[in-house]
Amino acid sequence: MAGEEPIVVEICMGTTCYVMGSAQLAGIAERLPEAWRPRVSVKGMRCEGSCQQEDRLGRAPFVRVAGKLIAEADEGKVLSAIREALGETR
Amino acid sequence: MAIPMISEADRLRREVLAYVIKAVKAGTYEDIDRIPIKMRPKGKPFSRCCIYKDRAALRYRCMSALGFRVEDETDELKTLKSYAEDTETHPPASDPFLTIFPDACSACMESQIMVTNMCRGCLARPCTNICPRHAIQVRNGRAMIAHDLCVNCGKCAEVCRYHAIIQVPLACADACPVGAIGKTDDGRVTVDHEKCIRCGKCIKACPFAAIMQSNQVAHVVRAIAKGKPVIALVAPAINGFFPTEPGKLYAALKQIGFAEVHEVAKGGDDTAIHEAAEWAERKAHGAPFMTTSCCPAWIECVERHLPEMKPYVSDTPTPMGYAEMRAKKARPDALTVFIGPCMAKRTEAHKHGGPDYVITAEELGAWLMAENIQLDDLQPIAPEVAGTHYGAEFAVSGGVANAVAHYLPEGTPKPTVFKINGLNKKNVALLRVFAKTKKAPADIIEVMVCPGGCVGGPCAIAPAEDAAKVIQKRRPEGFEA
Repeated sequence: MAGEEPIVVEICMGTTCYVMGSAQLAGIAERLPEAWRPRVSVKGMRCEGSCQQEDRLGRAPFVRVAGKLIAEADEGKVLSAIREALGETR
Repeated sequence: MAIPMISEADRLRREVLAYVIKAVKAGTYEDIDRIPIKMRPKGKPFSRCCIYKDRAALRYRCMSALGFRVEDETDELKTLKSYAEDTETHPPASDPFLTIFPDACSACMESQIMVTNMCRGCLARPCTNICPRHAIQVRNGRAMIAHDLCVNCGKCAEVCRYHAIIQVPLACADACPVGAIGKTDDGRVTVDHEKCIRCGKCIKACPFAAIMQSNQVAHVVRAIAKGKPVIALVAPAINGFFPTEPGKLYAALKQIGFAEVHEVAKGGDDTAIHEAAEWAERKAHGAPFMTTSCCPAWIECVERHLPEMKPYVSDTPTPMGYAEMRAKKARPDALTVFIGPCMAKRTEAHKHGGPDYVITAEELGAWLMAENIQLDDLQPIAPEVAGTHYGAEFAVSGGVANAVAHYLPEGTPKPTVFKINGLNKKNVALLRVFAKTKKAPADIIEVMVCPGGCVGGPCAIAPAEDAAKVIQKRRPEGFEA
C-alpha cells in the first residue's frame, strides 16, 4: 500500500508519564509485528498536561494512537489501538 | 527479549509517593489522610477483596512513604497527618528498612511441583523416567508426586509432553538469594532480618506488594523546606533512567531545592583508582583473587552468609563512601542525600554514619511528578562535582571491573574478570566454593547483586537494558572497554 500515511503512535515523555510507565513503553516500536512496522510510526511527545487533569496522577501514562488519547496506557492497550487503526480484525 | 513491564504495584507506590511529597512540601498534612480515598473512591473499581482493604493497604503505603515501618505502628487510629508531623521531630525508621504489611500477603503456596488435571497417565511416562529421586508414580491413570521425596528440580515439568506438570513458584522466597524469607503459622510472609542482605528483590517479586520499604524522601523534602543546605549525591545509574541529558536532571535537582549536585561517578573513579592499587598489592602478596566492594547487598551477603569470603573482598570504600567524604569535607554544614536505584545503600549509609539520607530513583521520580517538572524544558547545568565515564559505568555490570583495569598502576598485568551479574541461590553457592577452595576462575570477581548492575536495581524506573544503553551511548572518544 504505497503512499499510505503511517499510523502515528505518540508516547508521552513528560515526567509523570515516564515514571508511571512510558519508560517501559518507549521501546514498543521494536516489539511490533514485522508486518505492521512499515505502517506504524512511533515517536515521543511532550507533556500536554493530561496528567494534571482529574486530580489523579495514576491516569498516566498517556499515549496517542492515530489521534486518539489513551489513559493508563500499557502494552496491550496500545497494541489493540494500533490494530484497530490499521483496520485489522484480530 | 522479555517485554519490559511496569506492575500496578509499582504504579500505586509511585503515585502514593508523589501525593505524600506534594502534601509534605506544601505543609498540608491533612491531605495525606485523604490519599487512600482519593485513589480508591467510592463506587470505582478496586483490586483486592473490597475497597476498604485497598484503602487500608494504601494507608500503610503512605505510612512507609513517610518514612515509618508498619511494624512500628502502636495505635491503629493514629492519623497519617500525625505521622507527617512526626517527620519534623523524628528521624525516619532505621535499618532494617524492609517493612511488611501482613494483611496484604496472600499467603501463597510453598514453591512446589504439581501435577495438574492435564495429566493423561500416558504410556511413555517421561516424568517417572527423568525423576532423580523416584518421586513420581502413576496411579489410577495419573502421575503422583511424593512430596517428601521431591526436591523441586523441575525436570518432570520440562519433559511432560502435555505441560501437565507445573512448577508453582513462591515469588518472594524464590527471588531471595539467601533464604531469608519464611512463613508465619498462617502462611504469611516473614523476613529474617539476620539473614536478609537488603537487596530488595522480594519487594519487586511480591505480586501483592506486601513487602515494602520505609522511604526517606519526606524527611529530605522537610530539610530543604527548613532551609538547610542539602547536597544531592547522584548515583551514575540515575542518569540512565530519565529521557534527558544529565545536565537537565541536575537543573531539576536544583529547582526542587538541592544546594549542590555531586556525581557519585567521581566517587566511582576514586574507588576504581584505590581498588586497582589494592589489587596490585594483593597480587604481589600472592592473593588468589579479589572481589569488588561497591555493592552493599554483596557486602551484607559476605557478612551474613559467606564469612570465609571476607579476606578476598576489597577493603576500598564505595563510590558513595568517597562522595560522602568529599561532600562533608567541602561543606560540613550541609546534609547529604544519596540518590540511587538501590535499597541496600540505606543500610550502608546507616552503618557508616552517612550520607544523612538515601532516596531512590523511584522517590526522585515521584518528587519530580509532585512538582510537575518537565525535564526537557530546563537549561542543562554542570554538577559541582563531576566524574569520568569510567566512574559512570559503575552502574552497569562489567563497568566496575573495567574501571579498575583502566586505573591499574603501571606494570601491573591486566587482571582477568569473572562477573556475577545478578546474585541468586546458585551463584552464592559458587562464590562459597571460591572462598573455601581459595580458587576462583579469574583475578577479579565483580559482584553485582542486581541483574544488569545497579541499573537493574529494585528502585529503578526504566528497564535495565535501556538504562545501560543510554549510559554506554555517552562513552567519550578513547574510552576503553
